[in-house]
Amino acid sequence: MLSKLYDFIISKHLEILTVIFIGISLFLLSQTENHTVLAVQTKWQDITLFIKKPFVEQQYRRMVLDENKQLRMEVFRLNKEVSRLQNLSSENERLRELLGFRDTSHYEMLPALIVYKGFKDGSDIIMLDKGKKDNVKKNDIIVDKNGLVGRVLSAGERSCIVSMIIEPDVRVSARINPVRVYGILKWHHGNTFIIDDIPVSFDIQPGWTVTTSGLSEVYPADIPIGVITEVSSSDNGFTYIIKGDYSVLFKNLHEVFILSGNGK
Amino acid sequence: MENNKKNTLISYIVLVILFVIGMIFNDFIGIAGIHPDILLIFLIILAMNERPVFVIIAAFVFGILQDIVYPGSLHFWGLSSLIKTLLIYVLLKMLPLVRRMRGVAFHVSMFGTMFVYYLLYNLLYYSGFAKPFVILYRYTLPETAYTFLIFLVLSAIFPLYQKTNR
Repeated sequence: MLSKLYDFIISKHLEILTVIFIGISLFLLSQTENHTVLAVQTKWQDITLFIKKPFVEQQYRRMVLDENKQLRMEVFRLNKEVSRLQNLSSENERLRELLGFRDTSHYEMLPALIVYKGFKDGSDIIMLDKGKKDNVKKNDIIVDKNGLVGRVLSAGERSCIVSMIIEPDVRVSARINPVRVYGILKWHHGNTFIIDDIPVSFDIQPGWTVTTSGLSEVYPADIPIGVITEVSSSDNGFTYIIKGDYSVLFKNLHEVFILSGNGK
Repeated sequence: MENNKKNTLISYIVLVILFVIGMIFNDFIGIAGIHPDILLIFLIILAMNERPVFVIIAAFVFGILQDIVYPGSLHFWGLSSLIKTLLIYVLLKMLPLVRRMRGVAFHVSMFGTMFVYYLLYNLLYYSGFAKPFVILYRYTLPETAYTFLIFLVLSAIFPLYQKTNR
């Protein structure tokens, strides 16, 4: 009996190995956020960062110079906007004080360079050149100039792995402005999102903005997410299906900001 | 015979260098988001030259390595090792037939192998992200072509099918 088993193993060793490897691969496929793999990936980024970074920086240098010209014009326009908003803010603060409210949000913004953007198109993770040494920790929020990008999944000493909100499993608690309707936002396809189960009793229009709601434990309030492009009724007729475009162009991300403190 | 061994060894060294370059400068060797799969070429060359057990272990290890150092999505850890192990197993089973091929026929069979790999990988990776036809012309064909081009350059420098026709 044992000799037969031995013969079987010897004659079918290639098939047995293949089945074992396929089994392990399928097990790994069922693990979405395996901490061991994340730790290995972060360590790898830490090791290779010093080689990668100068090349990435050189690549972005030219792009940044062009962008700088446009940003100067934008700064002028925004300065005017800021002075208007400062007036409104001081007025708002005064009114909040009168009502007994207190503003609790407080962020520290840390610029970070993307050193890895995924093996293929449609990748939903990126790696940044900032880590624990820069006080980056798990669940810190990542934004770019246009809005919400994602959160830190794992932080190494000098780099970190970020999960972007275009990951199919990610849900973000969102608020539709200006009506202040709350819903759960998820990735749809490409650079678009979807929010469903919004009651039809609300009047919602394309062109309105979507921001984070602040109801989530991870994402603070009022970070722009996107703009509504389509509002349609669901099959049951009681709710809306809202589609929109993300403000952030995830394919063209180069530099992002890490928000520490999360406004909590 | 000695020359063949030397060629194989040199091609292994070249592939290791290419892989390390790819790992570190992934964004630089990509053209419009299309990246070659150096490890797949490595595995095909190994399949031609090494023992099947060694090759199937290499297919799994390379797949895992790829998922760790080239992460693309949190959902697909294990996809590279799964597809690579399956593909290399089938290739090993068809090796007697492949070894009889020469020239164009040999290269067409290699192109076909790479095409099947990318087709399976991309259909799973981009399911729900793009339509099958888009996956075919936007990702599968360009990636196969890019990887095959590197394979072609390597096999021109270090001929592979001479040894396969021993």
